[in-house]
Amino acid sequence: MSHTPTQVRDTIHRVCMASYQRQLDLLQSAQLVSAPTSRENLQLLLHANAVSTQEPLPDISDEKLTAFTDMETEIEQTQTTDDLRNTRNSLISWLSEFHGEDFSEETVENSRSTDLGLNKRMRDELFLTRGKIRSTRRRLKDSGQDYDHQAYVSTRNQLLFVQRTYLEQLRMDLAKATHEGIAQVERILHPAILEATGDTFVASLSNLRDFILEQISAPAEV
Amino acid sequence: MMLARFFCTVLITASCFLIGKPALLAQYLSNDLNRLATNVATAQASPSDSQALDELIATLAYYAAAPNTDEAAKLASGPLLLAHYADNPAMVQFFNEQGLDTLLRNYEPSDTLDFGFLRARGRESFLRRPEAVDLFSTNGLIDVSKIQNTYNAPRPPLDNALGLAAKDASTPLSTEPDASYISTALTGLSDWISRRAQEELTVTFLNRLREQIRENELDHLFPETANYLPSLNLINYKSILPSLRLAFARDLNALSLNLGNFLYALDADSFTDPAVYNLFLVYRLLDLGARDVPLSEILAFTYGELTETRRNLRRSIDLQLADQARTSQRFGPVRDSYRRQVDRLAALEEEFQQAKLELENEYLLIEDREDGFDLLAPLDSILLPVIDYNYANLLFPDDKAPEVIFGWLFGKQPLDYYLDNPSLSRYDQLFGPDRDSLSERDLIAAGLTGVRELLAMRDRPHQLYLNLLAAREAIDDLKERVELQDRPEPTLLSIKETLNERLVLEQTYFRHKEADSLQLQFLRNLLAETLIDQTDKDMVRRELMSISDRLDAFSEEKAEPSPNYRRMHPPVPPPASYPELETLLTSVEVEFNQLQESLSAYSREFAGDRIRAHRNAANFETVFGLGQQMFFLLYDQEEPAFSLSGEVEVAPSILLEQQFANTPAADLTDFAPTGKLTSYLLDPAINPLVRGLAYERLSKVPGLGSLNAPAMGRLLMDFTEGLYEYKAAYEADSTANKVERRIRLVHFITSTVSSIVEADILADPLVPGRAFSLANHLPGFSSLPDINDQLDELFAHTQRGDYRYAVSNLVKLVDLFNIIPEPNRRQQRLIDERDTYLEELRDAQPTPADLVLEDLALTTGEAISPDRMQYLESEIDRLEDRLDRLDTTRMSRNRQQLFLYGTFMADVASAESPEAFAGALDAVALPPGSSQLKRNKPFSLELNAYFGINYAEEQLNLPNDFNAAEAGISDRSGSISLFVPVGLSLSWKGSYTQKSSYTLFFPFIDLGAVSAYRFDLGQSQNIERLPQFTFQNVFAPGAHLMYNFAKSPFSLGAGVQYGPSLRRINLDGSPDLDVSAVRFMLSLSVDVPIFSFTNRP
Repeated sequence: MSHTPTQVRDTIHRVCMASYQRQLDLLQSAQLVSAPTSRENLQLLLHANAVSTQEPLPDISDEKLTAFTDMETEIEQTQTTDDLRNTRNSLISWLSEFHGEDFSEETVENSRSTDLGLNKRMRDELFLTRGKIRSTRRRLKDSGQDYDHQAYVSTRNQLLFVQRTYLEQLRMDLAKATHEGIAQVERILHPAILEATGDTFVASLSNLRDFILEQISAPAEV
Repeated sequence: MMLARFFCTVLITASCFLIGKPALLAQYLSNDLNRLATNVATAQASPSDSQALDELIATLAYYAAAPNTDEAAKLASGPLLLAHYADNPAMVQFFNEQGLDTLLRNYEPSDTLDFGFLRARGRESFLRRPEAVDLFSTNGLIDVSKIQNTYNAPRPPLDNALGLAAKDASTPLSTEPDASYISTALTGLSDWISRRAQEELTVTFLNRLREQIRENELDHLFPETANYLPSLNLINYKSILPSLRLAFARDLNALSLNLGNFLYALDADSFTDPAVYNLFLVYRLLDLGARDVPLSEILAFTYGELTETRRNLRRSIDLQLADQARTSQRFGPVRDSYRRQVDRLAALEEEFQQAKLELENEYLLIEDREDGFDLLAPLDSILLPVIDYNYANLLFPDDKAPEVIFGWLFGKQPLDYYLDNPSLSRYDQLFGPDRDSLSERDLIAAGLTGVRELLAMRDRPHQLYLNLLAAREAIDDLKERVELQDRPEPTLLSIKETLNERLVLEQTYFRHKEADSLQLQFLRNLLAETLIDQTDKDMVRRELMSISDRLDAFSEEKAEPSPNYRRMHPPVPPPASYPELETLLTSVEVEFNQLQESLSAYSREFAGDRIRAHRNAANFETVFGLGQQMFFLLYDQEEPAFSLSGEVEVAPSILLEQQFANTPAADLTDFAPTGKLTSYLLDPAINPLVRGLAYERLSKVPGLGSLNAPAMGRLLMDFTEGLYEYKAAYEADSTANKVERRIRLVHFITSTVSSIVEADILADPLVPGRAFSLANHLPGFSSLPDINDQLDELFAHTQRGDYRYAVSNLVKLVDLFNIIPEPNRRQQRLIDERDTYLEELRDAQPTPADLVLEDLALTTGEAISPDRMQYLESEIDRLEDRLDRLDTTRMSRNRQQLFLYGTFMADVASAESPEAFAGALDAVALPPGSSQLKRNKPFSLELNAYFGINYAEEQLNLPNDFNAAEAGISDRSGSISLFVPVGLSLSWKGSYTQKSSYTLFFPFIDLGAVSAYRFDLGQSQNIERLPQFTFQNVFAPGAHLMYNFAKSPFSLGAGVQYGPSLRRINLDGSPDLDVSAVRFMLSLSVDVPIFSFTNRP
């Protein structure tokens, strides 16, 4: 094996996040990501995490890793969510070979953290995001302030997609909320949505989306 | 009447126009009723009159939400108001009868409706529920410092509160006798015929009074007398009579107030017994009323005090339980059950959050449409309560997360939780210079309080679930409508093709059934002849639809429709549901039962009495809450009109504050008069509205449960009559002195409480049409009306100086309070047993207050079985029956003694003349006719007098050296005299059937002895015919055997008696010689028993 464990981990993370990012890019239509699609994306991250967090890392041949890396190009070329689903399933199959964990729906559902702490606080806050968006939209409408509706729909859909993933990761303790992160949401990002004008509304959503995406894409600790 | 209302409203409306805003000038009952009636009439005549409907909505929203103006503004919508009043039967009747259900169904008021105007400050003062610091800051007449001190000072020990309240309510007396009474008293005494005997009797009686007072805790009832008597030498009672009378008068004057101390001394628990607590509240109200505190403030203060009491009790309950936490086996199960429940609630919370998330997504997608906001707006009332709800920590308030309470239950601060949720205030609380130094006990108590708060919200998850289901259903329906709306209208060609396809499939399926096949072929041919390129497209469409309908009818007739038809018409899906959520809800409910059971067992063992007291205070809170709402509703005083011209740029609320800054709080003159209310109630169109508004307001009282709409009219009338009786008394005699004012106030308080407690305002949710009152429903409240009646009379009689009547009331109250003087062991055992059953029965009966008790239930929440209930009731009856029969003599003797001594004190205190004073003493002597006692009883012992005549052979005891013959006198002679001896008589009968009786009489004085007249006139001119009137001459010890004639006061007797002690013999030129005599006597006299030692009346 010519790759170091770090390189392998980085590769796995990069390819999986590319798939995730591609899913985000495809979210331009008015449709929100369905619950099954959300679950599949989460599954991919769970499998990636399961492989990456092993110590020592399983023996992955160069050939195998190259096949995995090649899928990154495939991902970039997908034009529909159905195409992306096929690639994602291939990624999951590849990853499944290198760990023995069960990520069936039932298992995931029941794998609740016993020590929620900060994660619970972050989740409680994020569950309020939709309400804040609603409230601001009403306010903007009542006050006659305009904004780019298409950009709003697209950004909001992406936000809600990444938020859903993050909520699950927090629930399962696969992500760790921090005091700084919580304060960022509570004191800056959410108030920004609530107080947004027509000009800043979409940006306030994308700021929250980017913040959450950053939390999701942070490599799992080993 | 309608015309008058119309003009009234026209005036109001006209003034609104002048102001230029859709303002409602004032809110008070008659104005509002008139306005509503006129607006209804206008809206019926002209449904497009938005102003009438706006005002209607504004007024109804005001009654639904006052004093919360924001809440009223939220309700200001036709559909929302209809939904809000849907549970109010009287209002539903009103809406239906007036056609408002149709008018309001889709009506939204104009945007300019400004709810800042919905303020009636004087009226809203009745709804105040001030915190301690807010109390009494507006009225300069009030003894602010006293009341604030009372309120803010540390609470007195709970078990002495009654006595303190009684003390507070006492004010200096107005009817104390003056000091000049001494002459009257002495003059009266001088007229007493058997003065000496009666004096002895009086002393004896006073001694017995002193003992009785001491023995029966009467010293609390008659404290002045009790303080005065023991320090006196009663032998010299004449000199102290005026002061004694003063003490009597003071005690009797304060009798109704001393009753509280008396009950306390008898161990009556002020807070657990509603009857006693009622007394306590009457004192508090009286105290405030006597200080000229306005009615609204009295209500607010009392309400605040009740709440404070309940909170204090609440704190003390959990502190008391925390004391046992270390040692009690019952505490562990509470903690374990709580931990399990927290886990279950966390899972439930997660399910709710996910369900909310899905619902929000659907909402957002619909909102994205161009018409999204318009589509969603009508559903806001259903959807927003679900998607705007914060499910975090589901049932826990912000500062008491599950982990916090769990930490407290272990007596520790939940530091891990605080580390995850840091704040400066928390830091200061934990580490700052003024940090809380909470003991382990304090923390456990706080934890227990948290557990109770959690239990108090046990119904909320189910309600949240119902909301969720309703929201889900609403959004599903909306989605379906939107899909239909979005679907392009099919072309005629596609309809025809689809129909043809269906017909082919059906015909294939039914090909073996000739008749069906023929029927289907008929339709196919018909379809073939329906040409879609005809000019009249609508007609073609109708024809196609008719064929489709017939094909549907064909398929529906079949027992087994074709697979194609079944595919086209799948079974109706079940209503929206969340199976996982339902499972979790069930498990949460099960654990709540477990938690409540373990907490109840723990509480019952260590704090049962305090919990009952807490319950009691909460029940009275309900009663006072009802009072507040009634006063608010009946408020009918037009408040100063205000206007907002365009020139004044001041927020309405600020302007209102300025205008009402000096408005005194509402008082009795501000309520709808009886006649006005009657006219409303007799108007069939308005009657349901009035009852509906009453229903609406009373439903604001926490925890009352289902209300009985028909009873609202009666309650309103009773209440109004009470108010006007009180008001009329003022108007008739505005110069009434303080005492009269207090009497009226007590009457008003007691009758108002009774009218609330006795009104059939509660409806049985299980038996439609069955209604009951708080007196029926609340444990221990049934005797309140009787007690209040007696208390009212007692107070009036004592204050007016009608003490004799007051004593009757007192004895009745002692009965009503079920006071048993010094129960013996057996009685005590029966009492304890009865109380145990009573407690179980009362604890098991849910009370309205249970809903606001923050779950201080003493039971597991499961209803007591009817069999057990019946058993408890029968046991209580049996034990009370035994108690009644047990030692009845002693019981009735106690009551009689109370009556005897009370009336004696009353008569003495009321005596304004010598005759009256003599009458008082007469009353405690045996009454006329008591001579029959010794003729009817087998044995008796009396202090007795006789009044009659006797013939006696008198033997003078001359000195030995005295020569009677030389002196020319005889030492023996017959004499006739009055026979008025006083002494002890011992009487008996030979048998039970004997009508007459015998008496052995031992006189010690004889007032008639001084009248002994010697017959020997010739020889005894040197001897006084009549002895001189000295004590020695009335001192006449002796013995007589008397025969008492049956059915007659006469007695025939024979006996010997010493005296008259001295007769003076005047020998010529010699000094006087005093000699004594012994008399052998025959007597015929009237039997006058003075005092019986064995037969008391």
